Amino acid sequence: MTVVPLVLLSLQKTNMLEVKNLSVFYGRIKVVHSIDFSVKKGSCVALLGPNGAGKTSTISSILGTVSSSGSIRFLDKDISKMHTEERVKLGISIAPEGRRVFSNLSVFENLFIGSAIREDRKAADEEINAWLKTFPILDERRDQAAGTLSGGEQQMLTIARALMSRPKILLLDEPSLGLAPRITRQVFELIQDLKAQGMTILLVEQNATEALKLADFSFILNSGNVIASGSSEEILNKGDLMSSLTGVEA
Amino acid sequence: MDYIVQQTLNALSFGAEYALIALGLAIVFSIMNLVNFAHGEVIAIGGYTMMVMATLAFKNPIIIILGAVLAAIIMALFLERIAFRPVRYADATTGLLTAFGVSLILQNLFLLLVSPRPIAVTSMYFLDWPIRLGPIQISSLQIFETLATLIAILLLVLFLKKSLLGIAMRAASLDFEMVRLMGIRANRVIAAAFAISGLLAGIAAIFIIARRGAVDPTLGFNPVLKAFVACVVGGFGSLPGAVLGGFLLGALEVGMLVLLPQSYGGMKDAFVFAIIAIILVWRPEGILSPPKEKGDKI
Amino acid sequence: MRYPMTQGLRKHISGINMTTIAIIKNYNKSNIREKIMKQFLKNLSKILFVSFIAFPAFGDTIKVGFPVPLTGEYAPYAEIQGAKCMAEIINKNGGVNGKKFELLVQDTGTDTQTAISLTEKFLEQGVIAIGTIPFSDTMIPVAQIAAGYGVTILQAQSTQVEMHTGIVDNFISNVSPDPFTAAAAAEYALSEGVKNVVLLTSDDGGSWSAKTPLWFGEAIENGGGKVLSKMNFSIPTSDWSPQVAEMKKLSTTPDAVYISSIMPDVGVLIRQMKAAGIDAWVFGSDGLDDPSLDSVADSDKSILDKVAFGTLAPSQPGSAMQAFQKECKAMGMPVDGMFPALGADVIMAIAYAVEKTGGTDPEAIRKALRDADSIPVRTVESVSFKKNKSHAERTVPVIGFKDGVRVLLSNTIPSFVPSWK
Repeated sequence: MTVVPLVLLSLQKTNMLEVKNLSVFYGRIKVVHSIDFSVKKGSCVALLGPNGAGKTSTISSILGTVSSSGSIRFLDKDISKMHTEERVKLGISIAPEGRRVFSNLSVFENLFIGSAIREDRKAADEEINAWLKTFPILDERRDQAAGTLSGGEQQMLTIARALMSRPKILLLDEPSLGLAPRITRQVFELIQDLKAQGMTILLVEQNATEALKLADFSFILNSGNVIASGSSEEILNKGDLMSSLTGVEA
Repeated sequence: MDYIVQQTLNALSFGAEYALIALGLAIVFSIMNLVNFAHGEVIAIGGYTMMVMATLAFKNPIIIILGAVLAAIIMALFLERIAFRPVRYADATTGLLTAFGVSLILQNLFLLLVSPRPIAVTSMYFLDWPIRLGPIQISSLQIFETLATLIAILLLVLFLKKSLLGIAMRAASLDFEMVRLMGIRANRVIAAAFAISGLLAGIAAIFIIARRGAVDPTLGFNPVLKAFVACVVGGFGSLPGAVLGGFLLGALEVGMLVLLPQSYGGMKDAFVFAIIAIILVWRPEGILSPPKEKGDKI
Repeated sequence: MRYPMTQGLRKHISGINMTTIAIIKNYNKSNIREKIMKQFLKNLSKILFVSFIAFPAFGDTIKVGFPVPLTGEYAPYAEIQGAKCMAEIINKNGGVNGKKFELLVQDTGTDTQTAISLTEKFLEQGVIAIGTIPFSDTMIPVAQIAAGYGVTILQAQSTQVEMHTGIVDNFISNVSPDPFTAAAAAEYALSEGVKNVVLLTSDDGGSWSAKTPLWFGEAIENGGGKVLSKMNFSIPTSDWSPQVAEMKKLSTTPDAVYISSIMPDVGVLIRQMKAAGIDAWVFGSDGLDDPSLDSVADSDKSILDKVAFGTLAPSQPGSAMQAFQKECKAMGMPVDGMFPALGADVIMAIAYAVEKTGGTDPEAIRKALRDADSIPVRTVESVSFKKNKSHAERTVPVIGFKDGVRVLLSNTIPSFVPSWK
């Protein structure tokens, strides 16, 4: 009889992010209805679903940029009442939908502002240089306004900027949106790399095929409800569901 | 020829003052979309501080200058805290009306608590002496003011380019929420913008007092109206636009004053605004309108 | 610091100071923020819309209504301080025929519509005369309403020529219109040998700033002088360097410049002309009659040597006005500057008419004022409305400076006044 709580406890310990009974509101309109999900340390979890399913609302509520109710626990701390800035300082970082690079800042400044919360200035500067080496195209445009970059380049910059704060969990919102297939592949390769290095990732994607390749576990949202969850294999086995929701042939 | 050079220098110094004040408006607007008409009363606080310090027998001009600038900064921060923070996320009209209200309340407080009439403050007269360069005559004040404006612009650019807070302020002018998502506190960025606008207002107050030698309740309000026009024509929210608009307005005003025949003199402002209207038809957002595009909000 | 207001108002203001401090202290406790804001606004409204009756009513009183600008743009011209002090002096001495003055004062915030509403209210309360915002766009409608009650608009300081064109009959100004101050200044200028003048004009202050310089020019030309040039300016102007450069460009050096504008703007002009080495007189109107002009000489006593202005009442040391101001200050009712001091004349004129008619019938009061050969007032010896009906006949002082101190240069009724009606 005492075994069950112990198991739960151990589960809880490995859950970096745990969301319970989460509802998200825009004004009076409820767009996400009491959903539960969690992300284990070092894993990659995908939130999938069609347009308007509430994926972006959910991910936004984790950083507190939309109003929500319910519990959001990060590293065993209730963060649901914290300011956005405090949540970032705890180690949550986002590469948002639409990328939102600071188009009037240079590439370098975008990375620099990404490291705003860090105290180890020197290490951060080295890291900026390392990122610029990783993406030679960004290095070439180091001092150019980020608004002049192509969509794919902006996406790389956004992810790099998000990582500059040395987050414990990285939220990726539609990283492939609007990108050419070749670029999309590069983006997912980068995410794969990050995962291999042990980064905890919460991924929101419409491109379920690619997302499922990456994800250890997925939740499927529709109209603000979790309608299915499981490993990629389990999800792919529910072929009908997938095709009807995401248009992906199983 | 000498006359043209003379009037050009005069126009430059008009422009410098407008630019200095317009910068203070623009830096707040660029981040908060708030047209801070109370900026003029922040300038006035600088002036009234000099008045109070003179009555308290402060003699050292450096101390008076520092006191005035400090008072303006504190006033700007204070207004942000009590008046503008509560309406930070309201729409632009609410902010505008709040700023007008604050401006009106402060002007009438000056009027009731001090005097509706000008009160002499002559402690900054020492900044003003004539300088003759051949046939050209300028005032040291014109040089100081133009220099101070240029230095302020330079330091501001350095701050905005090199410091984290400055970069964050530039970023915030485009996408405030994303700056918060970088872990930078919104209050800090906004307070910084107000502190800078207060600093610029304090500097402007010193030059205004040095020239006028008196404070009255509308000390800052009238110049701020001019600076507002400068911001509109330069492109609201754009710092280079504010500076350009300020110098342009200065040139237009002096130009119209000098070129219009006396019988049309009463139409000076009409001509100035007609030219500005034409510029706005050509560039509805102002000459150097700031970038507008934003990524989709999360 | 100066407090241009009464004890009652001052109490309200110290109240708000305390509240403001409380706000600063408690603002962080956001749950009480709203309460504090409400309190703040309540206190503020006390100041901004302060309404008080200066003196308690003692049965039969002489009620005078003042819907005046205590706040707003025209607040500097309010005559209240002097009117109150004078009323207090008369009341202390037993009033007029045993009747005491009761002043009904309320702030219009320099808004005409408010002035009209307050006028209606005061008329219903039985005032026998009214003083309001001293600009024709307020005075005319206020006079039209008061006419129905037979009440006179008795204005302490109005110099606007528009009021004397017969548009209303129940208007009397305690001073001479602008052409007189311009003419008096010109007369003095001519006596100093001034020949060539530059006129600075502006449309921003109505006829006061646009036409007064032209009347000055006319009087100068009548005396054999010449107008070299007319130049424009705006109100306010804090930098005159373009106009000064234009003066330097003139082929003939001007002996004098005339301007009818406000302080501190004219102070700046004086200093910039001096700095540019233009050794010309600066003549002006009552707009220069402000203590802040004297401060221009703080660092250089000689800078005001060639500055003079035609004004409404003598204000140099030793003048009746300064004696009045001293008396009021001793009573704890400071009267700052000329415009507030002129309020005393209005009260004295009413006192004279009440005594003469033995009652408080407003129409009889007006008639008594217009019939009198000479009415004793405070800022000058006497005034008379017999000749002009709508404005006083009184001497027009020209004030100048010696070693930075005001001196009375002349004080006459000018012999040549340009036609202005």
